[in-house]
Amino acid sequence: MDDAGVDPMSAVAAEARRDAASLPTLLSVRALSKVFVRGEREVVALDRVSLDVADGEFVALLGPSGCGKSTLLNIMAGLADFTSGEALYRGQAIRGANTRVGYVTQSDTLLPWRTCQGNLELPLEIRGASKEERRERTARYLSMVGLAGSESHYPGELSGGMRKRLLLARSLIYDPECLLMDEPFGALDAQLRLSMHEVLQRIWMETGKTIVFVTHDIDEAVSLADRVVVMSARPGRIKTIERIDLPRPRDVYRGRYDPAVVAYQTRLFDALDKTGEADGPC
Amino acid sequence: MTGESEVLLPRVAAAAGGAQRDWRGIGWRLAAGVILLGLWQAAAVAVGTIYVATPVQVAVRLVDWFASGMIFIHLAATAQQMVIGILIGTSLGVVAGLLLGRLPTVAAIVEPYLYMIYSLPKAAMAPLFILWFGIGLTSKIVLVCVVVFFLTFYNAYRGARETDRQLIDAVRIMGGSRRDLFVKVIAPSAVMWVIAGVRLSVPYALIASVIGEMIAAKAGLGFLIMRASQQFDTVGIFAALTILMLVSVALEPLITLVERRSAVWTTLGSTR
Amino acid sequence: MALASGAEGSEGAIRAAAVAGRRRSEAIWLGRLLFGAFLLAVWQVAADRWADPFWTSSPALIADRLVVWLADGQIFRHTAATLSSFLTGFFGGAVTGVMLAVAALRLPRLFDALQPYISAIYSLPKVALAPLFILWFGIGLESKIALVWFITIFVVFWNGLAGLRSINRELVNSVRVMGASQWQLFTKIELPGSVSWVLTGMKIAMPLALHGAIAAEIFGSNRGLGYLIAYSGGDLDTTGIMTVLVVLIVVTAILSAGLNGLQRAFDRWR
Repeated sequence: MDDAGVDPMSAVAAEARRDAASLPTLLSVRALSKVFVRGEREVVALDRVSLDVADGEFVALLGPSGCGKSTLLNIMAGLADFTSGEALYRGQAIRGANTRVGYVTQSDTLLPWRTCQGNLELPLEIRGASKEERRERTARYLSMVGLAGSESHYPGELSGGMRKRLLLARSLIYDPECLLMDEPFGALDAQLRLSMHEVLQRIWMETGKTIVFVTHDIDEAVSLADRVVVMSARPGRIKTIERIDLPRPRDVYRGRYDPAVVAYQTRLFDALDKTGEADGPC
Repeated sequence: MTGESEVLLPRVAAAAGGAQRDWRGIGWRLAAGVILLGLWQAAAVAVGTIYVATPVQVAVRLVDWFASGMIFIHLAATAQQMVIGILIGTSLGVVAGLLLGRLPTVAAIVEPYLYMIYSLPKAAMAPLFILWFGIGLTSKIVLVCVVVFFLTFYNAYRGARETDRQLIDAVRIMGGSRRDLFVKVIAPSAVMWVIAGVRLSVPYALIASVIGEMIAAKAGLGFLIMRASQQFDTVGIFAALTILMLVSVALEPLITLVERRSAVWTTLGSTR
Repeated sequence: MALASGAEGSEGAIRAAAVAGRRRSEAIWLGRLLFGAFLLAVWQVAADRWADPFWTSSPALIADRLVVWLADGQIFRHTAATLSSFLTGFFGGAVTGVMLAVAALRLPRLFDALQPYISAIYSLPKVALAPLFILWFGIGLESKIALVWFITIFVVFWNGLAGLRSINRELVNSVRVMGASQWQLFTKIELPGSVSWVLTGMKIAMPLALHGAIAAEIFGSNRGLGYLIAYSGGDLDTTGIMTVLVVLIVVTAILSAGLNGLQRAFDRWR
């Protein structure tokens, strides 16, 4: 099973780490609630959600399109506050922007006045990397997401899919220990999305980062995650958590034909709310 | 990776033959133009040239104006008023906008008063300025300045305030300090708004300049219109209006040309 | 930022935020009043002490003049003149603009052929046409009505056309298949679909049209607020000019409030 191009030794090592009984918890939310007022109505985005994310885990938040999952991610990133409960990063309360994570949002937060190169270099500039390091890293990450050659193009000249990949590269380039991703591959076409899954899986296996990944796509969740947290919207609650015990590295392209994979997909499908999307953005 | 096969919009799309000349459409437009000229001529004949000058009369007058060079004096006057007014108005507007952008409470307090002045017709303010500054260029420059000030001010203010919340959040996550945020996000974003404001203000500067000249002046396109009207020189009125229309139409592509030539985008996009 | 857990926590937070918001806007209104009073005071003091009220006028002088002009009815007469030419031209132009938009939609090739010429006239500062209209229609109200009408047509036309075009073609086709006549199509689909665009166009056109009316009055008229400004200007009467400007501010505010109210009423009706 080496067609994913991963060094088998590192894969086994990473796997073993994850199976260790005493895994440190990186991210933790306890009885987290978020209520906000829209006009005259109260909207319960999150209702007493509790979740522990272990160091090095790949967790998928699965649910119909709606507010809860993104809100949870925003809270983990320290960008939103909450009404009650606790949100901890490495045991300490999250205060203000969480600079130890990388965050790939749904919306496009590229700086339109900088080129691709400029956008990628931004976090490195902020963190004081040297010029050579900046150049080397941007070249590496650009080719990692398949954008080599687009260095001097502006975001306005790129397609939606290319911008998403640039956003992914930008969130990875300063090597954060944890990655928060909000439906990052939704806008990509099927083939491209699968190749991005491959890239993401490889990065995760080689670096052991913790990844919290929001998606409404069951296949994506099963393909990538260690655990899938199924959520319901309005109010946002955890319905069930499914552990995906498939061996790694997983074949992202042909996995869907594997009966074991299909079994997981079916269970998740049954667990999901069928009531449709929550209405209105957050 | 399939990066190379993706289409970069819009450069590639344009090159791929998206722009085909619509000859039939152009033909119809030319035909319509000819018909309109004919209707114009007919109207002039029907109503009398006291009210409507004929196309030929207008053309002759225009040739005369250009040949004698007199038109350039007036074009220069209007242009001068516009340029100086834009320069001063933009500078003041940018400073005020960025400053008040950082002081939202002060801005909220001052806002209704600014809006009251902004809502006044330029033609109504012109007599006041002419009273204060005379009928020379200065009063028109002040009028243009006021108009441009408001446009750039609102744009700079919004640029300083409304820097996309999400851009700021993203940079905060990267570890950006307050200084980083200002230098790398807020300021460049505000500059983009300001450029948009300047672009917007050029046609308004023309209008302000012309209106000021129509009320009292010694030269300029508006002055030409008023002088002709006071002398019941209908041909003169039509000729001056034609020049004004040509200038107005030419203004937009001219701005785009200047924008492209200037190195604005490259300086904004460079990383140090 | 974890608050007390439980339902009380969330309600408390929401209520606190609402109260803080209200207090802030009250403070801002207070600030505005104080600032305005401060400006007036500075102006008055300056006019009394070291500035020459001939050039600067003063709040006291303007207030005096307002009273005089209100008493002898000049304000009402001239405001009425301006408003009557404005309102007539404005609504007339709006209706004509909508009709032209419908025509442009029905005759796309004619519209396309005429488009460069329409754009050329659109980019011309229409106030510059005032002397021509005065030449044609005299210095009475007619020339002002004509100018306002002309200005309004353009803005409402463009917005109305955009509104009509925004109506899904497939919707129109399916309604046609249902057997609707042109008139039914217009009243049931096109009109409702484009009204909010038209109202937006009217909102944009209103200040332009009003300014056009005033400008035309300044250039040549015997009545109206613009005439009053020009008359005061000719007399080097700074106070007179400023008084009219004050009246203008009030009139403009009332008109916009009126139009906004109209739009809100319409939104509710939908």
